[in-house]
Amino acid sequence: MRIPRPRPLAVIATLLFIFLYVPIVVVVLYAFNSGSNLSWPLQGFSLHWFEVIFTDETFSEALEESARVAVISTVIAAIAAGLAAVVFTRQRWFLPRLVEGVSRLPIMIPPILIGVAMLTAIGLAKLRLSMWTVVAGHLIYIIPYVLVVIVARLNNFDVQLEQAARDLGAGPVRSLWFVTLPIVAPAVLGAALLAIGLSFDEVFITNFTVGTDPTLPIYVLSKLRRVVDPSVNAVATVLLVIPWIALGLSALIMGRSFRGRRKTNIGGEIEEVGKG
Amino acid sequence: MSSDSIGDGGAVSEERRDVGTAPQQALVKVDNVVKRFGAVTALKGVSLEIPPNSFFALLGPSGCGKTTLLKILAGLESPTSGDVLLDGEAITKQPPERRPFNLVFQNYALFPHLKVAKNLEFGPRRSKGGASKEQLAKEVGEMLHLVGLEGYEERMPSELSGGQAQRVALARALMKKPRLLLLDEPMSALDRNVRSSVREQLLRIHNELGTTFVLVTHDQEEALSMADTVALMNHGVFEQIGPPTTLYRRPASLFAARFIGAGSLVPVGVKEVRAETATVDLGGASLEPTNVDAEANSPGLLMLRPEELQVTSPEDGILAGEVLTSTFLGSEVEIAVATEVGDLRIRTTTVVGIGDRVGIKWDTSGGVLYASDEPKSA
Repeated sequence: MRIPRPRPLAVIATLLFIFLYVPIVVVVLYAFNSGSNLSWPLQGFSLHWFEVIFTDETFSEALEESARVAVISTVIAAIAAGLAAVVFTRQRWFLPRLVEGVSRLPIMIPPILIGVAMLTAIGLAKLRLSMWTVVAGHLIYIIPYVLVVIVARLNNFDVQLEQAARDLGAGPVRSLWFVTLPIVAPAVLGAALLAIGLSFDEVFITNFTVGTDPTLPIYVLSKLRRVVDPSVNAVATVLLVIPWIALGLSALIMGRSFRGRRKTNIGGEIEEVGKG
Repeated sequence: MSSDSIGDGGAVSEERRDVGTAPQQALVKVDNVVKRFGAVTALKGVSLEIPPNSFFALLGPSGCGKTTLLKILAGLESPTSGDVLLDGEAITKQPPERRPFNLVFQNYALFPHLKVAKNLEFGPRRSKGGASKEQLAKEVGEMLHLVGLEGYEERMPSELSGGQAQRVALARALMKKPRLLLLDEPMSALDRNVRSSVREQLLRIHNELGTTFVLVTHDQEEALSMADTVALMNHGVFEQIGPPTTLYRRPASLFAARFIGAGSLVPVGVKEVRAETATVDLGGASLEPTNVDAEANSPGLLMLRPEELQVTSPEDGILAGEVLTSTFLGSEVEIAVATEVGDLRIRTTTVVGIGDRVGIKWDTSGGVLYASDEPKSA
């Protein structure tokens, strides 16, 4: 290596990692703590708090609600973004480009603003807050991410394969179904897992759009509002692990599908999202 | 074809030439097709007739519009204006999946997620009233046999060599028994030693099936040796359409003369022109070559083929010069001789050494004459 590695940078990086992860590690440690007050040192190892939450019906209901919302919004997002990505990568004129730009925009809008806007819109439309309003909010949040991943994959897709399918007698829809989809499926699956992870711990928008059935992050918030209950640490650990599993799988699948291609930075993007 | 003295192309037989010139109802007709991409005009109103059972080559340098024309035939591009006709009926608006044409893509475009057998079955499975599974499997086996890949059904495209992938692509395109098989630079991605065997195989399959082939290539040797009709393209127009022998013996334009074969162009002074021939002056010698477009009392360029030139003693030659290089070709050698009018390529069996001073002579009625496009006169 000709470029010397500056030591101050290594120090800063280490500090940054401590800063980022120590609070998370503390939460996880407390989740396994046998004592009932949040004080140092820890009293002993115990799965007591997990027992508490898994026997709590409201927790189970919130977990179920989160899972339902995540799966429904991911399926809708994957189909919508997938079809949109096909158009955006094939139609290079003004209108599709504009629509693509606009549909990526929510990444740059603060979720809390989206939440307020959603609530206003729902009020104007005189809709009742329900699971579907939560799904709608999540869709706005996750579609841009799903879109970015699928567009990146389709940009790398050899259009001649579709032309070959057409030439061999398959119509445009059959070409997409029998040739394009199977080939880009790993990217779509990866994007879907990313979406599940994002949806699962979304709290800002959900806080405005949620009805009477809270999602898991909302359950945590409401629990903390009354009293600091140590079982929250166990909930947080669950909340931490589920999206990480989804994002880890997503990175793994896409890492494989993008191997040997140029756009390998997709994995990097996912890690960043996971931390946020 | 007046100048019989001009050397024969060698590889081209007389029967094949007749196929191209025989009056037949065209299978496919291209009628005044124009294709614009924004400000670029790729095809400037081309017309073409492809006779049934022919082996037709679209030849030209890269960017001449030949691939665009192929894509228009396949239905993957639609022309800005003009028509494509099959059996006399316009199919210009038909999408690719409705045309009885199949294409062998330049990079083969095999479906990477499907094994060889599934790639071959893809076409027949998409058409209505398809054959039974057993029937289809039998057809796949027969087709793989035809291209010399028996037992490759279970391979994935990623497990094939370039030559094998090319043959699978050919087999896949032939599965639906197309009326027209389109080949887009099929040999360009192959090693030199694989090419000649692929060439023979294509000719054999063409003879066996009687399918009409349209080959797109930038390789004039490939076009001349395989096709019975060659359409030479440049800048979106046809320079010449005809049997290979005609393209070789009497190129219709200076571009064609430069593109086809390895001829030498010698600047001459044109004295007199007649219907088919002209009288020209080359360093005091008077010659009577076939004339294409030269005018009297103007500079011309005389195209001479390497095999019609003979090596002689310096004082006997029409031109004389020094041997620059010598390339051993087996039965003969090709030498380059530097003369006062430029370097000439000659095929000869005479033994000469580099640096020898030699004379060059040819039949005085030999060569083909064009109007000079060079600003300086000879």
